[in-house]
Amino acid sequence: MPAYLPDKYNEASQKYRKFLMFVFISHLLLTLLYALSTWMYISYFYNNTDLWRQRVKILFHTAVFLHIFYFFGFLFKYDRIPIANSPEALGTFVLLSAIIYIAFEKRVKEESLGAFLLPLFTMIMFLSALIPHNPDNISPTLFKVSFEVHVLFMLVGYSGFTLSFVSSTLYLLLNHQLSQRKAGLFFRRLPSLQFFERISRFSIDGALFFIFLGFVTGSYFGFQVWSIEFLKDPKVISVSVTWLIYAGHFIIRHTKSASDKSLSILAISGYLFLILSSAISLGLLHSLHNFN
Amino acid sequence: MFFSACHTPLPGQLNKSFRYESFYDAPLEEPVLERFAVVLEDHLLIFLVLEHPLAPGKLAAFLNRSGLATETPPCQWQTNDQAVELFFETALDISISMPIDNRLRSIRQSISILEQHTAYSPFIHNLYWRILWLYEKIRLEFDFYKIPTNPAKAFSQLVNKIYDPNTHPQLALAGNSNALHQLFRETGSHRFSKILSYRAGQNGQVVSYLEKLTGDVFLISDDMDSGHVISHLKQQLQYTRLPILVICNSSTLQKQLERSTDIFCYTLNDLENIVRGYHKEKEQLIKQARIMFGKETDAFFNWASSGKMDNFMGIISRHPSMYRLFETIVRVSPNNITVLIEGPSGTGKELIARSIHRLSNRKHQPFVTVNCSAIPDNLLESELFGHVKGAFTGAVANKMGLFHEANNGTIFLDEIGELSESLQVKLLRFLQNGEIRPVGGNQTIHIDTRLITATNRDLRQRVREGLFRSDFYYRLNVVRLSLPPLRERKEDIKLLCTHFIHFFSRKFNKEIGGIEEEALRKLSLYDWPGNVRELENVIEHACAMTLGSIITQEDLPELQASSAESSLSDKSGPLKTLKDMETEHIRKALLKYGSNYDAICRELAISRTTLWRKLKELNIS
Repeated sequence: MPAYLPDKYNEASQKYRKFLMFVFISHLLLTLLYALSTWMYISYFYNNTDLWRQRVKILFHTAVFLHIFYFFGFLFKYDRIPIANSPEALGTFVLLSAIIYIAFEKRVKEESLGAFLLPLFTMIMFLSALIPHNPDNISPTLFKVSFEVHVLFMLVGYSGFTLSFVSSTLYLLLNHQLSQRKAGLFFRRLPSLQFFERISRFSIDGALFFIFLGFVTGSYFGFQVWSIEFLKDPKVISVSVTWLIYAGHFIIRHTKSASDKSLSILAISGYLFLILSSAISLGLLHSLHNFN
Repeated sequence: MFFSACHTPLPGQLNKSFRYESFYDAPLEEPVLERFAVVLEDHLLIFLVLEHPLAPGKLAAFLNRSGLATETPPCQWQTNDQAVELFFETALDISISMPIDNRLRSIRQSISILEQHTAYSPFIHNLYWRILWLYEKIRLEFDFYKIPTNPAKAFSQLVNKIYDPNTHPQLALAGNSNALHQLFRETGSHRFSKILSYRAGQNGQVVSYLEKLTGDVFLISDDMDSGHVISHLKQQLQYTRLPILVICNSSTLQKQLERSTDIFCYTLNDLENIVRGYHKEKEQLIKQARIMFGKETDAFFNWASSGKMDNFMGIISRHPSMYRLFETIVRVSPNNITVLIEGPSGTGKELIARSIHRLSNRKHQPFVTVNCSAIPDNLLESELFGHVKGAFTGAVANKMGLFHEANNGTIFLDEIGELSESLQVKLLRFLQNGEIRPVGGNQTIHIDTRLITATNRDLRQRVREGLFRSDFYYRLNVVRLSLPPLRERKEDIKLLCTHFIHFFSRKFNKEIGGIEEEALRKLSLYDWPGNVRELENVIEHACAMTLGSIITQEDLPELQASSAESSLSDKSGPLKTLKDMETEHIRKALLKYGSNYDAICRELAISRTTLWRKLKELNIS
């Protein structure tokens, strides 16, 4: 039995106990698989051999396959997708990001980003296993399809921002090594600056689109439940500001008024703002997005 | 069999005057069986195949008689496995500064000259094929040849770290620095979309030149005015979002440029440092490559000690046209290319397909053979692509097709010329998208199967006649291998006979030592419309019939059609040229009369001088 489980659950129905155990063990196992994949990706980043490339792909794809299996298992067992609270949403976010990354990797045939994305996935999965669940507090409104669609759009958008964050960081790392005139590890193993710029641009454009869709579906849903009040929600404000930062990125890029290096810094800032503001709004402030 | 090799510096003037012809023209002496020499930039690699080992002094004497030893410094000779490994390393290793493509071209050139002078060098050819195969394998499996080994490669690498490989930045070269001009020459212009080159003149000209220099990558020498260069580059930054790369030959200019952001300024020394930065990675890759060289050396010795000099992956031949074919096979096998094999029936098309599969990375995966003419059209589709339950009467369950069975492996479609048009369209879809759809199914399946096809028909003719889809033909015809009929490589008949006799004597539990000279001559005079398969059947018959340890004329079955008749009746394949006919006719005469040239001249009704001229012209030995 997980240590964080309050006493009241010991007296609660067996159903909740089983549910919590199922989520906890699944998230821990998936964390372990993602951690192994991370180790493999980092080893491949150092070794750069075909054998490591094959191994890492097999392991990571297995992890994602099992995660999909868990997702659908959850869906069929509890008749909803796992997004009703923070740990569930984080797990689903990792799954969507991993699927997007696999598709990206297959398309561009470049595996070096995995060594930087997978540690993020592992950390988020681990966090999702540790955060306590409140299964008895799930609002019936969270079972609505319109809500699920809204959350999925938002999660896909966040995945785009994550990919942009990693590629912008790698842009700056490679840029730094190039300016230092050193054939360091990043210089040797990373593709071009133009590649990272392209990936960042593509993922931000996609993310802006999905976040916009998320806003539209969320506004429709929010307006019905909380009327105009939902606009004052700290989470809504935080995501709106993030969206504006990235929209600024989009405009600057199209007006060609800044270098790619400055745009990378802006993309990283936008992502850090998103994480900080989300943590504050969900953890410290009262928010409609606390899933209660 | 013994091998000796040396790799020695070649003085500059000799490098230019070195003539392979004089080396290969010199007569071969005991115990040297085969020889090979190749000039690789400023070094000479010599490889000798010996009947028994020779002391270094005697090897030097041999080279001296070949017109080499007096020209080259003393060699450090390596023997046997070390000699073979030296050959592999010199040809393929990145520790040698000469670019790999130039090295392979030089080896190819020397092999061509060797072939003109000595038709038969199985050991050298085998080593050459192994080098080509190893090159493709190493190139595909790890980034061995992408490691920068000189400043020019480091410069290319730098450009690749800023721009995608499919983007071609603009390059501007300004100033009079020879080092920078040489760097540009060695890098090559293919990486850049536009190249602007200006030599610096008087001060007044410099400014006007600079104004014209637009670009993403700059090579700027120190004779350009640094103030103008800096202001010009800053201006250029307005037009690009990516950083500008500048290579200069002056650290003063570099220090001034360093202050500007978004300009990466490298000196030639920095490029050398990049090369050194790859030292660890390079050492690791060299270690991996040498493991492969070692394995290939073992494989070479296994082959050499097996005594099957004329056996290439089960294909027996020592004919030059087959050597060309083997070379193509080793080059295409590791690459995932569709191959079309053309050749008359019985020439061994399936053996060629199998050898391609065995030399590829798919060798541990399935190899599926389908004879398209053996299966009725309506069944073939279901056989190839599978079917779903209820697709047709009798389809009681889902069935996977042969393409699915060959997933990750190779599928060999024999008699592809017999394929119906509807199936050609379906195969075309597979070739374009790698997708198949089972009969009755509504979902496509993506599969990774290598396709090798074969035909004994002239597909181009069928395309012209409208019997074969042209788009399908062009998709199949990525690499075409044309197998010559047996009558065009009669030198191989004796080898094939020996091979089949050995095989059938074991099968029939008989001790058959060989074939009588007269019987062999009879076989050589026959035209073999059924090619190697027919010869195999004839030898099987003879082995079954023979009472002694030697196959005689009486043991052979009656060879049905006469040469002339069979030639006339055989309409498959292209017609022979007059030169080929002449070669064949003279060869027949030589087989019939041996070294009795008077008899040959009488029979062919030509003079002895004409005979010599023809022998030389047609390269008949």
